[in-house]
Order: sequence, then structure tokens, then C-alpha cells
Amino acid sequence: MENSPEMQKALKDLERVTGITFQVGADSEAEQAEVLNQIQLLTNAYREKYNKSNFIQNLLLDQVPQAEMYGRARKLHVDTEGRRVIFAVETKYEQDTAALETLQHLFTPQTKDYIVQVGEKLLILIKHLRDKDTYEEMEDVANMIVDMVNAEAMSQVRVSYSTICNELKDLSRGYKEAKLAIEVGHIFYAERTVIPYGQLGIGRLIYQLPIPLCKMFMQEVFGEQLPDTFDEETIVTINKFFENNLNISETARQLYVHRNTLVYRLEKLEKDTGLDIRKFDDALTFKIATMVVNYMKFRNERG
Amino acid sequence: MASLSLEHINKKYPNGFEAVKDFNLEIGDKEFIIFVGPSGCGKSTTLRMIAGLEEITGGTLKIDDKVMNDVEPKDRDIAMVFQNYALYPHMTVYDNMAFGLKLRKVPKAKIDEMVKEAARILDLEKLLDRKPKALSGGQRQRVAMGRAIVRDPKVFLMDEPLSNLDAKLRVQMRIEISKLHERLGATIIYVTHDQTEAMTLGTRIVVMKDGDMMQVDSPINLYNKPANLFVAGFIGSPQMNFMDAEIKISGDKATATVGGRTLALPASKVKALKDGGYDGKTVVMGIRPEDVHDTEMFIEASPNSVIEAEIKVYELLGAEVYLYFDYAGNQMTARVDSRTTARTGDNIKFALDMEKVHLFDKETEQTITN
Repeated sequence: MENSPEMQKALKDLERVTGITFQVGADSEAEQAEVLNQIQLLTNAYREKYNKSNFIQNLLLDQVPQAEMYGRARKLHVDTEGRRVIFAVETKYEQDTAALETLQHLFTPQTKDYIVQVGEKLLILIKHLRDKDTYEEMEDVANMIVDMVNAEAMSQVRVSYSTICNELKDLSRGYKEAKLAIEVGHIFYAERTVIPYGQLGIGRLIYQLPIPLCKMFMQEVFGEQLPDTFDEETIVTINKFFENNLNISETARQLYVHRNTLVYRLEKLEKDTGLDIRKFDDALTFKIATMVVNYMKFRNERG
Repeated sequence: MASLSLEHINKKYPNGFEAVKDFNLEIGDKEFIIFVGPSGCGKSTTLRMIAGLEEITGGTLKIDDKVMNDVEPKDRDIAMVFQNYALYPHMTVYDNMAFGLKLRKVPKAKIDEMVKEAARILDLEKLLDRKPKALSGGQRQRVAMGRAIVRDPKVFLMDEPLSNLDAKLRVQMRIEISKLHERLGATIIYVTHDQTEAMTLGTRIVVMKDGDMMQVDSPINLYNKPANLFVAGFIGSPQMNFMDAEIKISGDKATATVGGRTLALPASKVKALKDGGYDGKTVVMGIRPEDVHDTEMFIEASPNSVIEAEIKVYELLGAEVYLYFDYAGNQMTARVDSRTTARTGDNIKFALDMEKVHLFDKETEQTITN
């Protein structure tokens, strides 16, 4: 029987990766499916064994057995020593080649840095650190990535970075941290372009809560009136009050309202919710509740 | 080059944070506009909205009368220079400047023409074959500028481009940017938190705070006629001195009582105080350090505006001296001639130049009279 389009693609891939050409003449569909599977496995095996970027991708995804990790790294001339940090660079558009090229020219294998594309919108930079490098330098690198992609590729990006990975086997942990920081950043820190995993704070904790628990918490705190159903004026007032660390005078000044107007608004909020956000405990509950609402919205949108 | 129009621009994030509120500004062709304000005031966000790097929540942005709200950054005909720039370490100066154009698939001959022209403007012609590590800090900064110039944009957007440089280089580059503006005849929008940079570079300055525009004016007007307490305190170094003053108006005369001392206000200030109904009220009185005098001649000529205080710190800057003292519970600074005989611990007299005082409403913080 004639080769299916999948089979033709698989044979082309195999030739491209290994240089081997195969003629396939299957008698039945089942036989062809079996051959297709074998060819794909063979292509992947070659890819994994000989392709550095594939190896690094698999390292990040925790798909390289620890026993093989160091041997394969040496064969591929990937430095097995040294501290590294994972930067996740999320582009606004899919397959943003201008952003990728900008990064590839800024960070090169000569400086022991690697860049791999792990998703349509996600680029990963594995940055080798010098002995003296601290999280301050990482913040600088992240800001530089944002500024350079903005100015050179004229493209929007958000950058997160992991904690320090001291060994090759830690890279998958770093990757998970950087990816999580991007997601948590979307929910709680939309105004930021750089999101360090180490500074996610309470957002990281909320991100890991199961939705039923969130719903229960919201019901207990607010009953039917969720914080996102408040009117614009109330939301602006609350945000400003939090921004000013619960300082009434400063908040009133910034909102261009009289102190008593602000107090009236806060008292009305207390009447509606039972929370007096002038008190630290109630303010904390309210702040967490608004973050939980944002999280639930995000999960809802994601289905 | 181009003109820009920002009409009721605002930026609100999904979490409710309002970074920019109702921003209105007309920017003329070849203007050098500065956005200045403390960290978090919304100046960078506004610039990024103009660049297309942040979505505009509300309002209209026009460049040369074309609405740009939904136009991609690369199609806005702009070029940007940011604070955290880096040069591609393995590329020559030429390739560093050409890279952005290569990404845009500009023909090689055109790239060559643009890079050489930018190099000529920036005096980088002899360095085109060098790698970044062989350049000085100032030369690197010029290459970063060159990357923007080669794009031949309608508008240059600069976000704190000098803040990573040391103080000496910053002054040098400030002059370079000023020259560049003249040479290119470009429309430039420049963000900084440094009021000295703002005052020396801008043709007009937008002072921002908490997402609001506080005042838009020429540097000299911002200094001499601040619209509110914030602008008065933000512009000028050392900062304007502020003190609470109780106003008394009788007929065509007015006085301000500060720390038990009654100071006569000049006739030019009386009308605004009268019109605003400030008789018997407390206002904030502001006076710039250079308007606090310690010379005998000035003191003798202004017997109705003399105060007495003990010098806490004497700071010699060469051509001038800053004298720090406390008066009526306020920390004050006088900027005086370096020939002053006053020293730390001395109890001396100062005369305030009452023609130069600024009065602000204590509650609204808006200017009553300058």
C-alpha cells in the first residue's frame, strides 16, 4: 500500500536527522502504523543522543536519567560544572524569531549560555553564572533582556527567573520555577515585566490552592458579594489604601478626597463585607481574598 | 519628524492597578519632551504605551494625526533607547548598529548607508570594526544611540538611557544627547527620575506623580511657577524649603507668621490670598535655598523678613556653601556665597526674599501664588 502523509513526513525527518533513507512497503494499515512508530522512535533516539538543544530541552523537562546525564553532557560539550539560572522569556506572539535572534546574539554558547525554544511563546535561557554573581545581577540580566527585545526586536516580552541551580540535575527544578513565575506573574503581577521566582510571595501559595477550597474561602469571607462585584470607586479606594500601607491621610490626599469621605467609604465597605480594612488582620484577609478572586478568574478562563 | 497627540490616555491593569490616569498632551514636531517623576509615577508606562509595548486601556494616541492605539511597535516608526542596553558581545560596532535593521529585513545597501550615516553623526566612524570590549563606556553608549538613529524614526523614545552610567559620563552624555537633538531635529520623548537631567535637556517637562500629570511646562516655569507643592518640592536641588505660615490680611497688606515671627508679604502676593479667603488660615510657605540670604546688606534691607537660627551643617561646594538649619520645626537649607563666615554651631540671622516666596493651600497642596 502507498505511504501515508505521516509516514512520508517521518521518513523525511529520519533522513534529515540521521542521514538514513528507508523504503517502506507495508501490506496493511496496522503494519504501516507499527513501522511509523518504529521510525519515529528511531528519529527521536538520534535526536536525543546527538542534538545539544534537544538534550538541554530534555534536561529541563526532567527526561534524562541521572545516570546518563553527565556522560551525555560531556559528549555534547555541555559544561557539567558551575552554577546556572533559568530565565523564561515569554513572547507576546508565537514563534517570535526576532526576539529569539536577539537573545541568541546576546547569549552565546561561548559564554556557556544556552537558549532553547520550549513552546510557541516560550524561550528558555540557561545562564551560566560567574562566582561573584548574585540575584542582583540576575535582575539586571532580566531587565536587559526586556529592554533589548523591546528596542531591537520591537517586541513585548515578560521574563522570569529561577533560583540558582548548583548542578546539572537541578536545571529541571529551575525550569519549573521560572515557568511557574511566568504563570503566577500573569495572575497577580500583570504590571511587571520581570518576575523573579524568589519574590512571588503569597501569590505562589495561592496559585497552588485547589479551586473548591478557594470557593469555600470566598463564600465564608464575602458571602454573595465577591470583591470583583464592587463598584469602580470602591475598588480604586481599596487599591490606593493598600498601596499606601493603610495610611488614611496619604490615601485621601492621593484620591483628592477629604479624609472623612475616605473614612465613610471604608465604613461602608465594612458594613457590606464585615471587614474593617483599617485593621491589619482584616486588611490581610481582604488582600488575600482579592488575590484568590484573580486566581479563580484565571483558572476559569483557562478552563 | 513628527507630532504626537495623547488624548485621555490611561492604563489600568487587570488587578485594578491604575498606572496612568487621564494623560493629555500635544507634542510638537522636533520637541524634546521629558517625563519626570519619582519611581512608580507612570512615566515609563506612558512611554511604553507610546511605543506600543503596553496596551492602552483608554484614550487615543496619534502620531502625525494617525491613530496608533492598535498599531504594532515595529510599524509605529519609532526607535527606543532604554536603560538596560547591552551590546552584542561578538559583533563589531558596525554589526551592532546594523542588527536591528537586519531583523527588519532591510536591504544590505540601505543598511550600509544608514549605519555609516549614524556613525558619522555620532563620531563613531573610526570604531566601526571594533568589538564592544574594546570600547569605553561613553563609546558604548553612543553605539546604543546609534542603533536607534539607524532606524531613522519619526520619534525617539528614551527611558532613563543614562542612569547606568557614572556621574561624570552622565554629564558628558547629557551634552551629547542635547547636541544630537539639535543635529537630528528629532522629536524626542525622554523619561527620567533625575530632575537635573529633565531641566537641562527638555524644551518642555511633564511632571508626574501616582499616574497623574502634575504640571506640563518649560523648565524655567516649573522652577519659578510650580503649580503645586509636589512640583515645587520635586524640581530644584537642594529642595525648596517649606514651612507652615499663618496668614493675616489687613487692607492691602498681609503677613505670614512662622514660628512666632511675623514676616511681611509683598503686595504682589496679597490679591491671591485675599481672593482665596486665606485670612486667618494656615498655608504652606515655600522658599528656594538661594532666596535665603545671610549677607548683612540683604538683612539690613529686609528688616521685616529676618529669622534667626543655629547652623547645624556647613557644606562647602567650592563656589557656594549650603547652610543647613532648623526653623520652626522645619529643616531648612540656605545656598549662600562661599565667602560666608557662618560655620556649624553659629547662631546667625537670615533674611528671606519675600518676593520669591511661594504659597500653597495646605489641604489641596495647589499653589495660591508664586
